[in-house]
Amino acid sequence: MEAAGKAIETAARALAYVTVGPPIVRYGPGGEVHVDVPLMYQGFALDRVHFDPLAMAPSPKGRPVHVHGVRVDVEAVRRAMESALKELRILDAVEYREPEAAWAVPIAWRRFIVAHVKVSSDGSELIPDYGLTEEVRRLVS
Amino acid sequence: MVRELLREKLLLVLLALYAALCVVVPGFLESSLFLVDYNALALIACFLMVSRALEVSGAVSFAARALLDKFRGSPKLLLLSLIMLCEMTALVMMNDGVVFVVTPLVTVLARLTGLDVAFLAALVALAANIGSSASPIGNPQNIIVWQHFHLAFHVFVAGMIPYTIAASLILALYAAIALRKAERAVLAPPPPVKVDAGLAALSLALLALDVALAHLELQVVALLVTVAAMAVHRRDLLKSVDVPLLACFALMFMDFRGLSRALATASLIPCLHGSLEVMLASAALCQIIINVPATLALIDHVDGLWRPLAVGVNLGALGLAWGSMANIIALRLSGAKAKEFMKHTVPVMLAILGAVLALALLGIYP
Repeated sequence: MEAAGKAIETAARALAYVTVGPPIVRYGPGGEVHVDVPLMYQGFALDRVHFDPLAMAPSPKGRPVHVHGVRVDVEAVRRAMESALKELRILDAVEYREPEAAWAVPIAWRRFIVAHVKVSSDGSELIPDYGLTEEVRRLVS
Repeated sequence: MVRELLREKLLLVLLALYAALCVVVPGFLESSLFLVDYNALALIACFLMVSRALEVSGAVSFAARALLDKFRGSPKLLLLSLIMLCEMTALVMMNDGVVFVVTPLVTVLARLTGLDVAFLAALVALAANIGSSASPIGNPQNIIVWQHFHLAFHVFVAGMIPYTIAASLILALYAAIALRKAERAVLAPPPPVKVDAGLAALSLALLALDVALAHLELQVVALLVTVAAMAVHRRDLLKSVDVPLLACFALMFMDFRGLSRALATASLIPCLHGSLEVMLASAALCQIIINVPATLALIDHVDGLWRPLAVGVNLGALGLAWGSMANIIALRLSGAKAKEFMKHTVPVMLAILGAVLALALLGIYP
């Protein structure tokens, strides 16, 4: 219980230092478009936020948006996410993920949970999403 | 894999140039494979991997956080110390890796202190580029020069350190002047990211071992040892090896050395003799074809003058937004506009150029 509280506090302190990474835009073979925006923390990606390019707003976690015939303006997506970033908040409850030995602290935007921050089992350190970090690294290089 | 390779625009451009050279330059197809310095390429692969491992270990992030904790009451001192951290880290880590770690942090500092994000991103990129210039393993163009001229590690460092110190002083002065009006702000210390101390130690050990093996002309052994060590300790990091980027480097060797040799044969480019001539030509060429191609285009035509070449290509990488990979990463991660970014990088580059020109005219350096 104590570690869970500490994990929430750690995630809340980290939120002030989270930045919006470069949007990742994928075009499928059928012309469908999918946009994710990574949340960055000191050179590491923490999680991706699914972004709805029609509503120009974050989409709930677990509900990636695939749209057709939309030309994505990456700069506009970034601006919209930077604006949404100011409204992100850490929820006061966590789940534990045994395989990763980490707490997953939900991040909410308005009524949606849009991402998770993973925190070590003792609640003290952030655990990055290394796979996503690599993806961002490739994207910006 | 093929689809991934075809997505790389730079690779496609280099392949097109290769194809054009095969058609236009007689004998290019047969000789092109001999234009690649495989030892340098092996070391670039080695240090890209080791640098990436150091980056992923969280060690640089840990150091940046420690600075933030120490200087959180003074944004000015904090930023000056972060500049120093970038410069020192870029001595042992590729400069683009340093920028990847520190840029998100300064982006937040911009938000919290009201400082211009383009200015802070420019400081990070400049610091990483300047710091890396003193080290043979700081950036790919230095590895190429170090290997091509068969220089001892300490000879390279000794040759470049006057430039690095002069450039660092100019950058520190510029930053101190620009930051004099930075308002005091007390920042809450951010929580740490998990540090993989074993990986950091392994990376530093591999770094030393690879340098020693390169000194013994065992570059391919260095590559094999690095790959084996990574496979044992962190297999997932092997997936981060950027194969298209390595293919780009191989093609750059073939394309730009081939092109410059063909132009020299046709007497369209002269052999450069004086130090000043080499430095200015290499710095100028970087503004057109960025630093690694510029290094390769000139490396066979500088009459052994490695130091002016290294100074020129390191200096040339500082100014324009597309002058180096470090600049591009700083821009893309911070979201700053290229025009705003260059308002800071170009004056610093010109000031450093002025200082180096003064030393050159006095016959002291490079």
